[in-house]
Amino acid sequence: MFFNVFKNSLKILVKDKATVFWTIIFSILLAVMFKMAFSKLDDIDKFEAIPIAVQEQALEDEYFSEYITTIEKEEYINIVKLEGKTEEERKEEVRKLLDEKTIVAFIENEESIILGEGSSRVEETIIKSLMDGYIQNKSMIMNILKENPYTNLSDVLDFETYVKEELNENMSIINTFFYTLIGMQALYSYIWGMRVMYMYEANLSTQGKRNSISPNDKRISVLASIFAAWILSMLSSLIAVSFINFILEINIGSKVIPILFLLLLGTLTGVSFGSFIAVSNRQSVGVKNGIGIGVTMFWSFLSGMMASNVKILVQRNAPILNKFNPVALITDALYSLYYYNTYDRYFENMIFLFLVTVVFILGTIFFMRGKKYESL
Amino acid sequence: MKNLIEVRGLVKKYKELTAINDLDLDVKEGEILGLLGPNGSGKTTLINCILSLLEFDKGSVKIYGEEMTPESYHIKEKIGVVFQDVGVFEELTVYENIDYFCSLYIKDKEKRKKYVEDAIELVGLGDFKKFVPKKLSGGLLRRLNIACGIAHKPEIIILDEPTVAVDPQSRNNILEGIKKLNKEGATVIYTSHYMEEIDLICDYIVILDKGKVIAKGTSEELKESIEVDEKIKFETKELPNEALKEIEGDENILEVTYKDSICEVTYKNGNHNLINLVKILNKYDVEYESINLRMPTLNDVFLELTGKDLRD
Repeated sequence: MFFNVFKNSLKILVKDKATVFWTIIFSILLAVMFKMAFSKLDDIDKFEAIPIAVQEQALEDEYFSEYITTIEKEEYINIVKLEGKTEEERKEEVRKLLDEKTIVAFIENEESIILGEGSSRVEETIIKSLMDGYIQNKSMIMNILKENPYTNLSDVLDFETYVKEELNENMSIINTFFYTLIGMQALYSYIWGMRVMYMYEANLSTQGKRNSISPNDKRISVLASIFAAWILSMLSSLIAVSFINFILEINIGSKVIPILFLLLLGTLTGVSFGSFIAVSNRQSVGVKNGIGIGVTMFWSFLSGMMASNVKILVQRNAPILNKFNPVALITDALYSLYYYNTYDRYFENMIFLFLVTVVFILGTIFFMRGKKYESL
Repeated sequence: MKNLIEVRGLVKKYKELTAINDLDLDVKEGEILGLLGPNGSGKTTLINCILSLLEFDKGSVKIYGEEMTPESYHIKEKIGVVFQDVGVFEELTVYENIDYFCSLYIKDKEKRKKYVEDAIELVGLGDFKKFVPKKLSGGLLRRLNIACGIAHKPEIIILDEPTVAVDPQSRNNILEGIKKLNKEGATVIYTSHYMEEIDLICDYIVILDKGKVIAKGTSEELKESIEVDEKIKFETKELPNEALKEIEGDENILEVTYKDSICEVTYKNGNHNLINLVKILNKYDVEYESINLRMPTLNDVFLELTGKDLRD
């Protein structure tokens, strides 16, 4: 029975042109539009390493030196070597370089930065935040060392990670838009979930009535159809992600297996979200669809799809919202897979996404629990 | 004939509104039972309660002597329902739709194929097998709706207003199909507010109003139970008072109305009413035209019992 229902559901769902459009074509069209819009933005905002000079004595500090090397390697700064042999000669040289705008800033030590008059506000902010970050980390590490002198400082002082986290706005602004789009696309699977519930709930459609009076266990039928909807959602997601990655050439990283698991869970979240909307209220089909689109777009907005600053604002002011926003969780999971070698942040996102999914599934079961209806 | 369906003391309320009010109903094996009543009389609610789709407040529903529940799968497999609203999948063709709904009951592929073909033949959709529903006319869509409900050859068929908004050709096709299914052994419950259809195909009729059974019996029994025997209607531009008084003086007369050049005379019984009436009209040189005689209908039954028309 399960296989028969599964097969029939696949046949019906795959022929539903409106659903196929919204879950595949719409996302692809949006991705193409993003690509067209952001390719120009990419050219305008291309980040160039900021030329600076650093006092030689300051680099004698092992950790400061490591930090400066890391951010130079990441091309946030470009260190201009000083030729002068004496202190005086070097001071004169720095003044000249600043006047000529060859360098933007001179770092005397971790707490003293001389900024040139020609430096832009963005460049100033970047240099300042880089140094502030170092100071904050250093004081934290000193505290740790006081309590545990044997701590491996290099492990704790993960400058590379710090820099990427602090500056993600500048580094991956374009990618994050597409990651959010992938999140939104996964959540659009709600349409499949909603459609399945319409097939089985007698108070939602005449097909639902027909299924309800048939001699089959509704739970098994619903499960088989939800499984079919999930597979189709997953395929839709794979098509959209492949298009974004291979055709639009937006790099989503090389961790294929974790990405597949993320899409599996993400589309299940979408399908269960749709089934929850379908059974949890007595609104018309149009209103329910509106709720699905509205909520998904709102989640996408909070995840930074329309303005990248929104996600950072939410993260700073109400981080709990991001923990229960499936689009934000998928976006962040993709982001963490791309940038980090570790899976901690990815797993954290997966756990929260799983919890959100469980809430939708339990909600659906709760509203479906009655086998008879009060009214039809 | 044994009872296949027994409904006892059924009460269904929607908040303040009592949709079904202490209703008893028996459906006998092999009969076509007509549930007649105006819109909102409780026909569909009663069907949904029988099918265990709706919760009800009091009473019991037994089918094949067993209490009907949502888990009564062995009973459900013997029932076919044609709902008032068309419930087919827009994405599937005529054949695929019938096959889908038949597959909910019949798992064997070969057997199902034959059943689907039989259903298509019964409703006359042979030329439209590969059509998707949106390409079908309203009447053909209704036929498809019926085929989806009866393809698995159920022993009990429930049809809830299957001919609403259907053209005469499709209506005749549907009614003939129902009679054929009944002849092949199916017990049928047919709900409608079209008295002519009920009169034409049903063996036994239950008239509902405001959730209550107000009359039941065969068509003849119901018509005989009311005072009205026959009605004669004719058109005349002028009807003298003397002639009108003489018509009213007939002991068989129940009511005489004359309005807008139309005179309607209702008789409670008696023979030769038409001859007697014509004699009076001729006596007073009344020029009349389009005179017609009508025997009592189920609408007259309903009118007499409730004081309102079935179509109100």
